[in-house]
Amino acid sequence: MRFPEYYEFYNPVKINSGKNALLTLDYEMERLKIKKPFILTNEMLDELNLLDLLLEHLHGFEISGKHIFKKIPNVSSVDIVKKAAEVFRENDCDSIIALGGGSVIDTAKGINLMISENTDDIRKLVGVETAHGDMKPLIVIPTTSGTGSEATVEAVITDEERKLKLEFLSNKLLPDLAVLDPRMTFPLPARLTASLGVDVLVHAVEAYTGLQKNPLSDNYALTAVKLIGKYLKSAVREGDNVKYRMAMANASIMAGIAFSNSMVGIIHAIGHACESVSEVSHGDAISILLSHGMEYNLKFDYCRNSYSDLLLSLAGPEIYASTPAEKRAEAAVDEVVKLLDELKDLAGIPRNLKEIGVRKEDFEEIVEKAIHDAAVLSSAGRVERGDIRSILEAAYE
Amino acid sequence: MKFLHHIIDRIILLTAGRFLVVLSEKDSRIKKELEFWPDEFTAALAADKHGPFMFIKKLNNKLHYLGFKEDDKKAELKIFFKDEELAYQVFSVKESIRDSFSEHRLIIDGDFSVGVSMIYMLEILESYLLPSFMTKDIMPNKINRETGRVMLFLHTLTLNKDKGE
Repeated sequence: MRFPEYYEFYNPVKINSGKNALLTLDYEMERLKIKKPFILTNEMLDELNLLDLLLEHLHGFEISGKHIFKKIPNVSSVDIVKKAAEVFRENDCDSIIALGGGSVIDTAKGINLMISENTDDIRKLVGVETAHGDMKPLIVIPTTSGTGSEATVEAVITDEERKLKLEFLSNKLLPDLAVLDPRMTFPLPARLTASLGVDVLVHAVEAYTGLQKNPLSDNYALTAVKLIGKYLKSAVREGDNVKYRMAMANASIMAGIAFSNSMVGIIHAIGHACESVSEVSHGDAISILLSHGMEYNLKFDYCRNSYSDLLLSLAGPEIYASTPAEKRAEAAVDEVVKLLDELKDLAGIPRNLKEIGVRKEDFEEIVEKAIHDAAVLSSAGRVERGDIRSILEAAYE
Repeated sequence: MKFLHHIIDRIILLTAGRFLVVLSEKDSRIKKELEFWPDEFTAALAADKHGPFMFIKKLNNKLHYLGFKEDDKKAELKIFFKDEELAYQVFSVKESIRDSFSEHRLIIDGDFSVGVSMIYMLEILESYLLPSFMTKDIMPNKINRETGRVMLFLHTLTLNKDKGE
């Protein structure tokens, strides 16, 4: 095990996880002294009756139509954060409940940041630890199992005007409470379940191989990989199975806790760049890049050792024991490729960049964006532009 | 000892900005990084949140050193360490700047992508200032020098002062 000379680990999020977890909301909100919550979600979740399900569990709070903001798009943006923060202020709310996936949760974090710093322009707060004021209580109820945003110190908000993904990192962005209720992820289609499940796997793999891996984040990452190995395919096949959905929700939050503390690496750096330049989905981009990024990392001894551990978690003790020690790292990559191929057959996840619309002529722009992504600094070795180009070429078709 | 480290931090910060200005005209990789910066962008490197600082600015595609006093300078990007002693660890080549970042000992306050670019520039500068046997433990890949050290020092010593310095 690689033991760092120094590390920091922080995760104060209370996690209520399991069947009917929403039943604990009233109690938790009272504990957090919440009276007038501001609920963030999107139209689709309202149509799927998930908003109604949430409202059924809230009693004795001041909630009306004006306290519910349903206009969150698939990607959180500077404008939406600003509009939602205005509604929050106009209605004098005292807390935020985010019901949704990564974009809803990141929007909620953005609003909280704007309110605490009393600003109208969130772009002024980009960077690390720019939150200094008191944050409002934030409760998140994830409806997907992928981004891990329910337990990360990060919010990614798009500046559409400048075509930039703004990153905000602060311990203060962490929610006070994450409620993982399986009913909230039942409607997630197989294709998204698979794609987001791979997103979780990438978070865990990169957290376990990042420069800041540490004994605490390692445990979260390995458990997440174990849950994915055991339950992801089943969750894709049987979306209304409580056990499988809970396993994936827990894998997501654990991988989120892991990478929030040990950071991600080259796969995410290139994935972010593909998202921003070619406007492809985060989950699709990084699921395609995963095996190629792992292949690249095989040249670093400490990544090889980490991948050997991942083989045990992903494939189980029999395969691990029957694989010679020096071949375990490659075997881990093979297991990942096998899983991705199976998910392609099961749910149709894409397997190359060309398929999702990344163009070769955009490679140089993607390389420039990726080399300036902070994730590269936490990746093994000293990543050069040529390394990024070679991964893109390998993942293209 | 701490006082000595403070002096070393201050000397490094006093000279690093001037070295970067010279290298921004001589080193192709630093030139390329500078292209990535928005024009009229001001960045600062500091030993801790309250200084000592090094201010640099991109103006008309050229890098300018603005001195070490904060005064009323508004930096869009501030890179600083959580403690001056942690800066000393990096400035004395005991730890790499990217390790310091990934260990959360160094804070990027501002645009991350330009912050990463500045970290690359500082790594290249380090390869000029120090012999490779001193940096081999903290830099996985050797960074080649594109200009001679003597020329770099001479140019830096004769660098004209910029307004505000």
